Amino acid sequence: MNDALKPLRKYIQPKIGDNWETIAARVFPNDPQDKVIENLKSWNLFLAFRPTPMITPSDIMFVEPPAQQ
Amino acid sequence: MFDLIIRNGLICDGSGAPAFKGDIAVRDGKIAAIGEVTGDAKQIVDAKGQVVAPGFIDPHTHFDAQLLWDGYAQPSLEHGITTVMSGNCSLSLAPLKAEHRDLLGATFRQIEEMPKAAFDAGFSWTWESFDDYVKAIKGGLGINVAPLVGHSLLRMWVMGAEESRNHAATPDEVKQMQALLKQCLDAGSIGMSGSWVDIDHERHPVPARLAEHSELEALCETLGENNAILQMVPEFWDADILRVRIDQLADLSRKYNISTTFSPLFDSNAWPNLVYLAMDRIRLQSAHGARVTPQMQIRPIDLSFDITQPNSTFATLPSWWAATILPVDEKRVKLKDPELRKKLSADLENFMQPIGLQIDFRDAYVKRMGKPDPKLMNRSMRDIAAERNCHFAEAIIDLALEHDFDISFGLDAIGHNNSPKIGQLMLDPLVGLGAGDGGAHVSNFATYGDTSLLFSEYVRKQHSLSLEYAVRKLTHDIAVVWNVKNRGLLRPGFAADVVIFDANTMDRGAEIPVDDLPASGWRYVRRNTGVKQVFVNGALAYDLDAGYSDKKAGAVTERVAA
Repeated sequence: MNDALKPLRKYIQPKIGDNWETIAARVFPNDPQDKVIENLKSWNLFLAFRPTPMITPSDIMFVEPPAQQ
Repeated sequence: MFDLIIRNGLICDGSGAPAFKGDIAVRDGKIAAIGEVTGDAKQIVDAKGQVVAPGFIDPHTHFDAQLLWDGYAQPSLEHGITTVMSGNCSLSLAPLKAEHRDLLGATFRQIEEMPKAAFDAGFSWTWESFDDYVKAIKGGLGINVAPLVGHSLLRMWVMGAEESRNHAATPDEVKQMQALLKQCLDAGSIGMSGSWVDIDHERHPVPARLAEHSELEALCETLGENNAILQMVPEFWDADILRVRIDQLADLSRKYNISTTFSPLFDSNAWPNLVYLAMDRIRLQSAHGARVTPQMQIRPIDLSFDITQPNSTFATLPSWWAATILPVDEKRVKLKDPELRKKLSADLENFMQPIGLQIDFRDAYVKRMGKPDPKLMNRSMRDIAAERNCHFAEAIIDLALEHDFDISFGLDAIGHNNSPKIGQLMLDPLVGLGAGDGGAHVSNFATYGDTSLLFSEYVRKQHSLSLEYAVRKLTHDIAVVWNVKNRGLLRPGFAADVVIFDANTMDRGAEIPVDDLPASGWRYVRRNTGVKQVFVNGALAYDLDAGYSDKKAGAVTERVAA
């Protein structure tokens, strides 16, 4: 891929049936799960606080913090 | 002998080229000549002092149901619109098996905020296939329609209601969806719509959102083979997610050679540079061959709400959402319960603003009353609460109770309301216009008049756009993005969709409630000032003095061949 077109921020798309725990275990298998989930939620406030909690395979979930503004 | 000659008009042909004085001749529903036309015609129209332009195209509507009882998509036609795209946001009304009608109907009505009574009284479900839906609307059309097929419906048809809402598709099911999509495209669909954000009446993601990216890719492959467009609704209020969506659309566009569009491109003080970040990304992707067109709404966001039914205003207020869905007798009792009132008041003090809007319910005002009371109309909750010495949330609740829920509240200019900024954005050739939502949110706000507002606000007041460029943005540019064949320009051989209007008075009227929905339902509309006549495929469809004609000359549009 052309470097200019690389994603601005690393993300994954969940699998069907995923929740915060399964994603945390898959994406950061060597880190403490509670801390990973806390980080994931803080990087994905919309997913964490939207009215419908279900995580879908078409969602975007960032796996790193936002860039410094 | 021509069928029609429009003489002496100021012709804006849709290309953006300088306007010129001239005539247009029409024969057999098509433009036969343009310029200085000699000869005679069965009908002559003198357009002296008026602009003559291609009929406007509205790329984001939800007229799927209304077209079954109103083939003119009123009042869009009187604002100069001659072609509407229906079926946006993953939701069309076909293809749909009989056993899924209740579920889809409830989903459609919830997301697009339409009353059930209008659905029940306005039409009968006589179709299952997309082809049969097209036949159901075709005979009654006074406006042209370019219908999208909703991804959610493809899923429901192939996978069933529950599976489509909860599971990934198997490879075989994806193949079946591709075949079904092809059938819809052959039956007249302009493309496919999807959504990354919408939730249904049970606050469950719509079926399209359960699709893995590989499913969307497969469907885009079919779109590409048929030169059909993909429309999506992204998380438009979050710049980081939106830019990922732009990248995804760009990849799909390049890989399958499709045009893609998303709606809306939305400006808000909640994230003032979001629109610029998004456009920078689109510019970059466009430079690398992608076709991603954002649709920017022309009007600012005004919302209305009441507490008769759940609506988007309460999307992030679960306690209010729950209160609105109570049966009315129970609601009368529970809304007097001090504990619930305390909870509702507290929640309205501090809540997550939905989708980048900036709402302060203290500013909500009495907008509509079944029996208007001049002492209350247009007064804010801040004002009424102070007078009553109560919390502003209790003012809303008490007014609703006192008027047996036949009262609506308004919230004006709560987003996308920086006209100079929006006018500058409109100048960008990569920014499309649209996202108007015609036919939806009927008792929440008027989704009509955006085309007229473009001329009054952005041509005359802000001087952001020239007359010619404004016409081009509403016609040719949209036709190209959507692969609409032979519309959007005044050219010999093109469809004779023509609007005649006064550039000095073109404007949208005030938002007014009208009782014109089936089953005595009401909705907000805006009338037009300035449009004199509208022709659809050469036939007079609307005249300022005579109103809507009884001619049914509308058509289902064709796509440019792959």
